[in-house]
Amino acid sequence: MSIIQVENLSKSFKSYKKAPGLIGSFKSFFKRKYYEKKAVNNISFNIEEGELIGFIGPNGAGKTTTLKCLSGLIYPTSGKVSVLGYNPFERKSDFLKQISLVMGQKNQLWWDLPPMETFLLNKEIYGVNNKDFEDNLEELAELMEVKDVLNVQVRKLSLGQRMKCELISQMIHKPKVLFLDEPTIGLDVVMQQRLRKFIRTYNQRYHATIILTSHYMEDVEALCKRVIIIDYGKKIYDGELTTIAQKFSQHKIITIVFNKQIVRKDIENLGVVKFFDFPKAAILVKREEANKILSQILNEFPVADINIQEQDIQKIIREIFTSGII
Amino acid sequence: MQQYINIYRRLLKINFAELLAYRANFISHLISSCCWTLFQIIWINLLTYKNQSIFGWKKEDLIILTISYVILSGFHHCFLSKNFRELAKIIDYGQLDSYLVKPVDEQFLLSLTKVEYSQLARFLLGTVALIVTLSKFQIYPSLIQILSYIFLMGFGLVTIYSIWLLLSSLMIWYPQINNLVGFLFDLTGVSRYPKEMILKTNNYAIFFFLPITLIAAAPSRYLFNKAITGDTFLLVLECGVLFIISRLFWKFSLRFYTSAS
Amino acid sequence: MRALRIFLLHCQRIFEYRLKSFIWFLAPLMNSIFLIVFWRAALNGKSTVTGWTMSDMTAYYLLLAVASTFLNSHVEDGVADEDIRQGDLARFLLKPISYYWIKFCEETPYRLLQCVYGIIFVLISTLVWGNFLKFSLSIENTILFIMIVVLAYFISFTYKLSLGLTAFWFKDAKGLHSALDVVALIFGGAILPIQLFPDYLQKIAYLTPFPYIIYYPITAFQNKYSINILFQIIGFQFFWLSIMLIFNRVLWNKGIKIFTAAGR
Repeated sequence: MSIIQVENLSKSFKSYKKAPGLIGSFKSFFKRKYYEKKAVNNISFNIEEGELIGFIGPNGAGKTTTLKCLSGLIYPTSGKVSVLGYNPFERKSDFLKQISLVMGQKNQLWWDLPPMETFLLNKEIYGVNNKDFEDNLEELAELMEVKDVLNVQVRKLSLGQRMKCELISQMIHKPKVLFLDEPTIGLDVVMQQRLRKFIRTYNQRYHATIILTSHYMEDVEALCKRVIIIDYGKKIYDGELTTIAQKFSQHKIITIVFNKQIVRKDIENLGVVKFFDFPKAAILVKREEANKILSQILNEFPVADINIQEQDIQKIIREIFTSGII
Repeated sequence: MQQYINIYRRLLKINFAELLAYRANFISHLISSCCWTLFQIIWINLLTYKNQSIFGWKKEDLIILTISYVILSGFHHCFLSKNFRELAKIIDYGQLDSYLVKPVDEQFLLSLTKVEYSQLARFLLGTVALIVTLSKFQIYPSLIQILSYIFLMGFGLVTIYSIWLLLSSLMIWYPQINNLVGFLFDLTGVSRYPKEMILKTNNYAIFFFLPITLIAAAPSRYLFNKAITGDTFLLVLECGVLFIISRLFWKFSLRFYTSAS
Repeated sequence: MRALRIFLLHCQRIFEYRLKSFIWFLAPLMNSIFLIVFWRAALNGKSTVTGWTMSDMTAYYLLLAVASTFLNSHVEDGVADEDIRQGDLARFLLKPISYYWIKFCEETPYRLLQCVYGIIFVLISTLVWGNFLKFSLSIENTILFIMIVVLAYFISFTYKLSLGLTAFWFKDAKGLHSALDVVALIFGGAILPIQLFPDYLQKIAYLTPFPYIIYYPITAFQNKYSINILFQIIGFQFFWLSIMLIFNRVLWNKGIKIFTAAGR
């Protein structure tokens, strides 16, 4: 049985609209107009133990709502959810002791005290025994490289150290399933890389199942083999990251290194010239014609090196969202 | 359950550590709670300055009633009230989720996490004022009466908590009313008035507040030897009923929260 | 024009917070109602020593509910926490209107809304409890009453603004604020009319500015004073307002140096 099973999950919310200006406020004082918003629209997927999955989607796509349904925070409008064999919404203690939901930007650490105090509190809350607590803390602190700041007041820590300690405090019970909502938001590049390394190690070492939502494609590209793309509450792709290009992109890029002088105009009829700075050039061509155009270039031009590549994943995904392909 | 006791012991320690880390803040709050205690004592003394006996209560009995309220509020503000102010912020900033995802009853965590030791000053000053008042008016309650007083004050405290929880759950439905807690302070303050005062007015709208008037009055009566068994029984009953209703409404509100988020 | 825009923007926010505004009003309302009930039971039809009848007392506490919500400014928390401690003050320093007036335009719409609630409450309670508020002021007295209210508002606002400015020096002034709040409540007449205090306490009260913020506006409305006394009250209010303004200036000038030097 898959560790996470989602069947026809849907979730709708009620919201209201207000007209701008003073008159609008006055009107809404007396009457409000409600409308229904479908945040998650009939999503289904299965996740096996030990997978590291990325949820991608623009703002408001329904990623966070789906995550909240999986962790039992939101009651679905319809559909079935099963995590670790439990119905998350029942919020059974045994279930909650095995998961962790980390939403970036939330502060759980007590500000005027060292992070250790919060760790000890969570130890009691999650019922971690002394030996496990020490072992877990030792491993996590080493992985995160924060061993020497555990007893320094949180207010005195840098943002990076604080985020790491927040993460430790929410993982002190070594969860089997980890939900990470925008974990690298607001962090600098170095921190992002360290955090990714930590997530990868945690997944590999403890065979933990991790679902990650992120705006940063670098997170997903670095960590996830499998991604689920969600837009307007619907699942529009569920599979390997590498095959996204094949499925969605209608173009490929041919990169060429010329060994004799040519003019940009010469290659303009082959496709859209994306880049030309002699001796290098890159052309965007239709997927079906790529091979044909490649041999054409080899025949007609003085080529030192030539290569066919998929379009940049980030560009493809951006295109999927902006053009609204469903 | 043992786990909850462990968690609470850790909470008491962590709050004490916070007190030590932020000493100036502690002193400031200590002064503040002393000022408000003095205010209550001056309040009742001014009101009863010219009145020797009102609606069946003697001046000294009313003073003892107000001081009992002060002692109750000392415990309430120390162990409970800060959590309700935090609850307003937690709901406002969308942090309720991190409590719901913990394997422990969220009502327990949200009600007891913060402890304001500085508010114990109200309890201490109140006890001193009580002893002074009792001896000034030469009232000497027996040991049984004192124990009954303490026992009933416990029920009064739980009643206050239940009323606060019941009304604070409304913040889940209307997150913008985070100033509700300020109102709750004044609502609890109604327990300084005895029920006889309300009954005398024949104003049915105010009868709604009668349950609150039992909170401090029923225990106080044991001190000056005018206990009414009916009142005592009613306080215990109301305590139980309100505790259950508040928990049910809290759970119901959470279901709303998790459905609407 | 700019000030008006700030004013209107805050008026708009008020409509969105109708429930919240109502709850803010509930506290003084409850306090007043219960004190009225207390005195009803206590007086039992008799008058108090200094000639305050039950109808006087009822009127006093009803007006207290209106006065304490309208005239008690709450500007000090925003000034201390957001502007000074969090550093938001910086953006005000660049504006062409002085900080004093910006804060004034931010605060006043909320106070006016509370006043509206208060007036509605008073109207409803006259329906419920009968007509206790006899508006028996002559035209001259009415004009003087309005002046007293306006001056009281400015004294209250300036005092609270100055209190907020102490955040330039104190990290946590809760103890100080509480002590002053307690004193202001007692000597402003929030518990009972100052006239009914013990003599020694009355004398102390009149030496503080607090009666001039709450107590005198209420009792002036109740037509308890001759024109001469009204002029005296106004005189004292000008005195206290001047002191508050000077105090405010001093705190501002000294404090702003610390603030900008700290480079927050």
